Amino acid sequence: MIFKGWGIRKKRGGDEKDSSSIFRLTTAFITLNIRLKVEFKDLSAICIKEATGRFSNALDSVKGFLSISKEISYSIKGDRYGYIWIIIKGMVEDAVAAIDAIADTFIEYGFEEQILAAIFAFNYKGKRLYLIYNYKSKRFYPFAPIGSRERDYDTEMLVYSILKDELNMENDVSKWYPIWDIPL
Amino acid sequence: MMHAKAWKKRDSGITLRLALCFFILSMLYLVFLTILAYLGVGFIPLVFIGSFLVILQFLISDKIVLWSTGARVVSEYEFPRLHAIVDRLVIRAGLPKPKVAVMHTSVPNAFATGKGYRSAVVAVTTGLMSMLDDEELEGVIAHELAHIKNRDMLAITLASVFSTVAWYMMHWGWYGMYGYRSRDQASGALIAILIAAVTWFISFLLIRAISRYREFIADRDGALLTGKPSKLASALRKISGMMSRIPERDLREVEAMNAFFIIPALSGDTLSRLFSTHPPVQERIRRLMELEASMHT
Repeated sequence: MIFKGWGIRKKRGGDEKDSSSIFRLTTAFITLNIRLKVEFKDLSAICIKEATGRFSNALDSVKGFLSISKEISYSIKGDRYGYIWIIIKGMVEDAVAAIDAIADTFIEYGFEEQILAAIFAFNYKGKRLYLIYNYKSKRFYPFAPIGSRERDYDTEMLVYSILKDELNMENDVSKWYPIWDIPL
Repeated sequence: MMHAKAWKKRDSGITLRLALCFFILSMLYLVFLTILAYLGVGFIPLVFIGSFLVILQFLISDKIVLWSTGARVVSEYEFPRLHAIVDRLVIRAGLPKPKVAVMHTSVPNAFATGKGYRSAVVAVTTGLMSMLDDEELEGVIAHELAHIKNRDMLAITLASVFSTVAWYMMHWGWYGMYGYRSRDQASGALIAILIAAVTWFISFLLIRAISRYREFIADRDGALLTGKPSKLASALRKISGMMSRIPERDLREVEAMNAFFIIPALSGDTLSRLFSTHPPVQERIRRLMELEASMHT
């Protein structure tokens, strides 16, 4: 685990619990797999609003440690909202560690506000299912898009009720904002 | 949105009418029995008269409910889909078929009433039938049949009998202590009425708590009857308007909006939750989905 040093070195002070909550994903993924036969696609991403100045230094630093990793591979994409997507291909533990390290790097460079969400892609009965981690609220919520602009509420509610004891889930459904056209 | 609010208003109308009906009835009993007590009728006869009134209310409760909600008993020829769903469910539940009634209103709602299996009535609104698909409607009707099967009407009536008896014990205790025609009679009467009001209020809350608990039981039993908890959950979501609360706007658009304003855009949800009249719907859905989740192991 190449990112271990990054993941543990925290400067967020009292947020110990929140930072560890993303690491609880490993067991949550197992639960999802056992209960619903949901499969993690080994694809995850962190979505960050692009900025100027030292942002490119932060991005370079991230590229630096991502490219020397043997466990994961990565790619970077932009979208029409001006966000960059750092897409990680790799197993749960490695992906979570990588995403946490990326977030930490951007926070260190002073871009905490720019971090939007971490997204994890699953396959549920051949349909797309995502788990979104909102960095502002530090909570997870499910997102099951059908077609281009519809959502499968039943699946989302089911995933929510299965995970709510394990993860820091967003209880207020009015904050379950979709992210349409996720490139995963 | 306007439409959703419109039905909510009318929905509380039906509930309000029912609550008002029973509230006035209860108050009438209390006043009647208090007058009897002042006329010098003994404790034991009062308990009998009180019980008689409550039992009478129980016996005619289905008529009161039908009358105050405007529900009309309908035949198989008028509403074949509704009757077919009820038929399927009562066979599996091992219940005699209840009367089926319909209320002509766009408000999605349903209720069950009746003192026993034979006289039971299941009523739904036309709004409910048009809003839900067959499986969801089945979920709602199974919930109402569970109320009938669990004799919830009887449970609530018994609870109110006990509260009436409790009220009279307190009432009588007061007179036992100070004597009936003492000089404190005026203030004594005042305190008696105060105690009566407090006791009645507490028993009102208790009855509400019991009925909330029985709602959860009916959700569970109804879901077990259909085997599809998520269908009742999705019916509840539709009825409560929760579907419309799950946002459609992209998270990135929302972030962009918030960046423009110094004060983050306040979601309308916070306000509607403060004034929400039905807090337990989310809790009911949560429990139903837990049941559904436990079926996927």
